[in-house]
Amino acid sequence: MPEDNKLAATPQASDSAPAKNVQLDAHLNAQIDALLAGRFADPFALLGPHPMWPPAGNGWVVRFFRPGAADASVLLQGVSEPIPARRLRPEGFFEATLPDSQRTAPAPSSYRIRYRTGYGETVETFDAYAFPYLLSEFDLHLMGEGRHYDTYEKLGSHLRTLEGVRGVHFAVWAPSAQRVSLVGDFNRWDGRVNPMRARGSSGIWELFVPELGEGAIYKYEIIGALFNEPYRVARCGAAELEVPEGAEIVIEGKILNDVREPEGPFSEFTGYASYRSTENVFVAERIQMRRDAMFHSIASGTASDHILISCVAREGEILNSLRRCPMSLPCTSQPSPAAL
Amino acid sequence: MAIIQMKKTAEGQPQQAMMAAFGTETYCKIAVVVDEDVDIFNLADVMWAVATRTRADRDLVFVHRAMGAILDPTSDPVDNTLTKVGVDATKPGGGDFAERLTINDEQRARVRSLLFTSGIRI
Repeated sequence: MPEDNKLAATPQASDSAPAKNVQLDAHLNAQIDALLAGRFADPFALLGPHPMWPPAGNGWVVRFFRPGAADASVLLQGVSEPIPARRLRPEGFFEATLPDSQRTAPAPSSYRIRYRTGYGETVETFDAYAFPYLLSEFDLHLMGEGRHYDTYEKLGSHLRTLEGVRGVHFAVWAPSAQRVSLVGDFNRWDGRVNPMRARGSSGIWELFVPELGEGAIYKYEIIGALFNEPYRVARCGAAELEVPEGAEIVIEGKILNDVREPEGPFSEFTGYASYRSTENVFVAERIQMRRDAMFHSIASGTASDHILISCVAREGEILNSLRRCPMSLPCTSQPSPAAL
Repeated sequence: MAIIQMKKTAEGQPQQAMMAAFGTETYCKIAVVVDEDVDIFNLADVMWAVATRTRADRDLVFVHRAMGAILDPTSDPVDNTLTKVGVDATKPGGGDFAERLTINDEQRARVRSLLFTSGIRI
């Protein structure tokens, strides 16, 4: 994966002038490659309005990705003719050069992107990557401390009017994600179209999508750090549960509320006989499995095996807590012999 | 039980770390905090730090009637509460404290060669 995909780059990073034009091209190409591969985590560094640097020019360019678009142009306020965009990649990646008279960044509401889809229809939209972010540094600070008491007004989706344009603001906390993208009917569930902006080290990703309205269906497509790719889920079972796409065995059922049945001591996990089982009752209603399903078990009756597995997750949770403390805590361990 | 290694820069930080660990989940009943020179994956080394750097009257932290795990046989049979204990096994700050003796690779190699030339094979 090229360096550019890393989260660390800030949206401003690309605005610093590279020493040579050749470098700019290589850099830009790598960014476009990552975007088209659905792995680009710093979309504001590439998409939207960007200044040009001499000798390439002194004005501004607007870059956008409209999958499958054959041709596109930019309609800029105060300019009578549409400004044709160059198609840098056949997948539908475009760049339009604004006239030299454009000395400063164009206002988000001052231009629209017009493109012809693969189906031949002509569409005009505002550019999501021209709009500023909405969450303040103070919001992020409070959320980081766990003291933000109005997060429900900030995270999730909210109708907003930004720079005079109505749309929906999305924000989600995904601290370990390598890239978060908004997918929905409005972008044909294509994770390359609306990658979100990472807000520093807060773990929060946000994006304002202009012209989107109430009732739009959406999801977040997240590239996790664990598999380095989106974790896919599939509908399954009678209740349309979502399960991992690669699940081997799915047991669907209910844990009965207020129903208890006596059972033997709980001991495989703990290494001692505990008669304190919760005695819950689970009724399996439907079992689905792959034809060659694998069942991963741990050695039954071997407490250290159970405890080691359970400690892996706990160790991580405790380490996360410690790292949120405002001090230097390089490491933590939860050795299995002493667990429980 | 959690073993926490930290670079202590001020007094009271191990206590902060213990509380963070206790608050994370109910199974964490004992937290031992050690300095950077202790191998947290070696319980004998951790116990060495407890034995040589902990002064019980000021380095033990008890959290009484904290929420515990139902499977823990020491937890209250009715409400599952228990007492959590934090052990600060870091060196006291603010002054000279007994330094840990270490043998570096060079010294080790020298001893080995001395033993070797004396006809002792190890």
